[in-house]
Parts: sequence; structure tokens; C-alpha cells
Amino acid sequence: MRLSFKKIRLRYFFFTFYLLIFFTAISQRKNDLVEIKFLPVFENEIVMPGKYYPLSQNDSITIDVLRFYISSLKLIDQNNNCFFDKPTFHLIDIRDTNSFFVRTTATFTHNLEKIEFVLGIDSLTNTNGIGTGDLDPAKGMYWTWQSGYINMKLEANLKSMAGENSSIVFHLGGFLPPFLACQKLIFEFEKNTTSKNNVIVFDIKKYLSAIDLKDQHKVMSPSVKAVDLSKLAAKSFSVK
Amino acid sequence: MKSKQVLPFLFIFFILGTGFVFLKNELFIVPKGWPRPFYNFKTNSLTKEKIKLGRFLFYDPILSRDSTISCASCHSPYNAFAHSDHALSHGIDDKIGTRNAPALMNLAWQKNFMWDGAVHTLDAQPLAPLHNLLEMDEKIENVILKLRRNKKYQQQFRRAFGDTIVSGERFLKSLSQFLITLNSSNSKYDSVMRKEAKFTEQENTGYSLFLKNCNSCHTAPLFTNNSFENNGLLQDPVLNDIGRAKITLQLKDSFLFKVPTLRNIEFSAPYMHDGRFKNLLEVLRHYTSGIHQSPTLSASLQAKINLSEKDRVDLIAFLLTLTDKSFLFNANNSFPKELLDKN
Repeated sequence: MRLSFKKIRLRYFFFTFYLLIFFTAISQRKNDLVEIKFLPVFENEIVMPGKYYPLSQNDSITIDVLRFYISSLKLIDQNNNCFFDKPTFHLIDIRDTNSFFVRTTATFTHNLEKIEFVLGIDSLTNTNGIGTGDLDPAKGMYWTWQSGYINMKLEANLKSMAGENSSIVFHLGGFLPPFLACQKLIFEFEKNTTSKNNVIVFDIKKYLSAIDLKDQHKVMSPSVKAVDLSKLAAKSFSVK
Repeated sequence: MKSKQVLPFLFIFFILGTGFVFLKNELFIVPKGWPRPFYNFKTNSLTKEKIKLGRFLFYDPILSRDSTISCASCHSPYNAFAHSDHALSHGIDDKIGTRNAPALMNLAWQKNFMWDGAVHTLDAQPLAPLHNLLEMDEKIENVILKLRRNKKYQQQFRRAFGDTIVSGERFLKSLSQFLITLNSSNSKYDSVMRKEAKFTEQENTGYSLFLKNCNSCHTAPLFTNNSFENNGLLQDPVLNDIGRAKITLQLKDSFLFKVPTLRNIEFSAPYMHDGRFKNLLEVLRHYTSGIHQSPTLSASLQAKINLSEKDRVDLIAFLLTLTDKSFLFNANNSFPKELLDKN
């Protein structure tokens, strides 16, 4: 079959045209993708590892490690469109600021009204064994002395305390009853807001201030204490 | 679609299907009459190259902090992948551990790992000895870095996965691939069950005694029921090991330990979670006259077990029929000589 030059040119034109439409649509979609920011803060400041923060009038603290999993993200916009980010797990880490931004594949035209997520890793995922990506055990969030993911790791140092007592180590997790530690959180954004910031903050000062650190400074296994500390951690999240 | 057009597709499907079944049978065989394995092959399907990589990793001391201790240091193939002569295994810097290294075999059929069942998935099990300060004292992050820098391992990972990316998941699942191939199902006992051989009179008597006194926990064909039991051992005052209760934090699990398989028991001495018994006669003496009564004692041991001297000898004769030399001396499971020139 022989094609005339005119026909070839026409076909080339249509091909280029469709390609242009395709890439414009993709780039448009990319721009509309909803992004949620999970910011670990000390009051209003994003937490920097190793920096001293005033915890009370007499004491200050440095945060060396703060990592937590966000999973089962569910978004609902003001037009009642729903997006469920079911199979993904996001590890938020103060030593990796890129990890604060959770990019979803949701394409909402309206602002968010509601957000739901789980702080930690659900039981089913834990029973399935080890995972990939943020669930790779090389990320340091899988217990080594027993099975299961650590939902939240917090390692800090109190200036006022000496020696071993100065270090706070919370490795919070547990996926079997009665020590199921992951927490479901639901937040509603302000209605009629035009803001598209979609920011969730975890206030480490609010969290630590609710704990008697002299009594509880080492919790590293599934237990009643771990569940209580996980509930307190959930209460320290808020929308901004 | 006409039948002439369909036939070539059916033929291709047949060839692919046959090939798949062949590959599956070649790398992992479920012996006739055995239960379905617990291991999830869907998330880690076996390949020859991954098994080979796993074997290298198993025998390579690069996994420990100072590259002196490998998995095989405490799991020797000639001792049914247990640690002979050591009640408690010695790890890095000759530090002594707190439990006896268990024999490794038929792991795809195991629900839980470690004496207290702390680990419920084979893929995560190597993390325990790797990070234990008395065993390998290393971190998986460091192991990954060491493997990434090693040219031989770059090649091995490329062969196994198609690229040189070394991740924790790939590392652990490769180890699982090798461990899953450590299967023992070809002992004299198995031959007798397949009607290819016969027990001697003494073995037969021993088998009857076994069925009467041991089978409830050490159930064939795996010779474990995969449960946790308190088998009446007096707690060691130095080790103070509370067993399963350490994991569940429940009193009812105090002094419960995983029921080990009896396959290849001839080669896996010393016995019990702390390796306190050096030989099988000592083990049988415990079950007949050494049971320590406690609230969590196994229901199977509530009634006294009576065995005469002759019974003990006969029972041991049967236990020796669980030895599988095709497993113990399988060259495919032994130290890979290529590891000597790995760098």
C-alpha cells in the first residue's frame, strides 16, 4: 500500500495532536493530584534532629529519631468524592523531609473536607510478612527480636536527666490483641476554606508533655504501655 | 474464533503450563500425604538463581559485624543444621547465647520460628540472629551496604532479580529461598511409610511406643504439631527463660516452648531449648522420671510415662529411622565453594 505525501503529513499531524492532548492531560492530572503534608513539629517549628527544644521551664530535649507510618489514607472532598489509598504505606522521617509529602493519585477539583488515616501498620499487613518500599525491613522499622512492624520510633534525650535515664526510647507497635497499637485518626478540614495546604501536624511537644517521662522513658515492645503511648500519639495529631 | 486458530494457543498454554508445573516440582516438592506448606510462595516464588544467592548468604560471614559468623556457624548441615557440641551456641567474639540453635528443615511447614515463636514469618526470621548482640551483632542496613559494595553479590543479585538493586526485602527473601529447600522426607521411616522398606522388629516395637507416648506432640509426618508446650523442664536459674510468655506476656504461656521436629534427631544433639541433654537416653530419662510439675505442664505429660530399659532402647531404635542421609549430606545444601573467591 502506497501513501501519498499529503496523507502521511495528515497522519503525522493527527499523531502529534493526540500526543499533545495526551501529555497535556497527564500534566494537568499531575497538577491536580492531592498532596498531604505530614509535618512533625515542636509547637510551630518543624522538628530538626539533634536540636534542643524547650520542653518545660527547667528542661529541654533533643529528638534524634522520629519516624512513623501513615497508612490506609482515605480522602473525601467537599463534593463528597472519595479516594482510598489502601495498599500504600508512608514512612514519615524527620531525617528525610521529602517523606513529609504524601502524594496521592486522587484528582479532586474541590478542597478536602475529611481525611482518615491509620497511624501505624494494620494487623493483616503484619501477618503477611515483610514488605517492600517503605515496608522494607532495611528501613529499620521491623522488630528484630520478634515479628511485626514498629508503628512509631521516637528516640530523644532529656537535658535534665543524667546517664541512661536521659534517653527516651519509644518503639511503639504490636499487631495482636490485646496489644494492638495502630491508631485510626479522622479529621475534618474547615468547610468553605479555599486553602489547599492539606497539612497534618504531629506536635511532639504536646505528645511528650502528656507523658511522665521520669516514669516512662523506655517502651520497646508490644504492651499496655505501648498501646497507651500510641493513643497519646494519635491525640497529638491535628489539621492545620 | 475458528478451532484451527484456537489450537496453537491451547498448545502454547499447555507447554507453558507443563513447564510451570515441572519448575514447581523441581524446586519444591510436597511429599505425598504431607499437609500444605504454610509458607506463602506467591510473595516469593522460587527460582534457581535466588536459591543459589540465598545459599551464598547463608554461608557468608559477611552478615555479622566483623565478618566472622555466618548462619552456618550455628546451623551446620552435618548436624541437621543445628549446632553440635554446644548446649548454647557461641556467636560473635565467642559470646554465649541464651538458647540452643534449633535444627533447620521443612521450614515451609512451620508456622512460627524461634523457641518462643517470636517470629511468625520465615522471611523476617534472619533479622533476629543478625541483630542479636550475642550472635551476629550487625544491622540489616549495614549488611545491605556491604552487599551493594561487593561485586560478586552485584552479579548474584543481577542473576537473581534482573538488576543489581540490593534491598532488605530481596536479601531476606533470598535467604528464605535457600532455607525452604532444606527439606527432609527421605528417612527410613519415610521409606517404610511408602512401603519401600520394612522396620526391624526392634524399630517396630519402638514405633508402637512412639505412637503411644510421643505422637501427640511430635506428630508425623513433620514430627511436630507446631504447638508450644511445657515439657516439664525445671527452669534454669541462670537463664531464667520463661519461653512463650516472653512474647505473649500471658502467665498461661509460662515455660512453653516450641515443639521441635524429631526428624534427623540422631544428628541434632544436644536437645531441648537450652541444650541441657546431651543424648537421647537423657531425654527419655527426663520424660519418664524427670518431669517437673507446674501449672502450665503439657496435658500430654500429666500422666506418668513408663518405659523400661528395653523400651527406651527400642524407642531410640525407632527415632534413628528418622535420619535422612540424603538430606544431611546433600551437596546442594552444603558450603558453596565459589564463596571462597567471592571478593
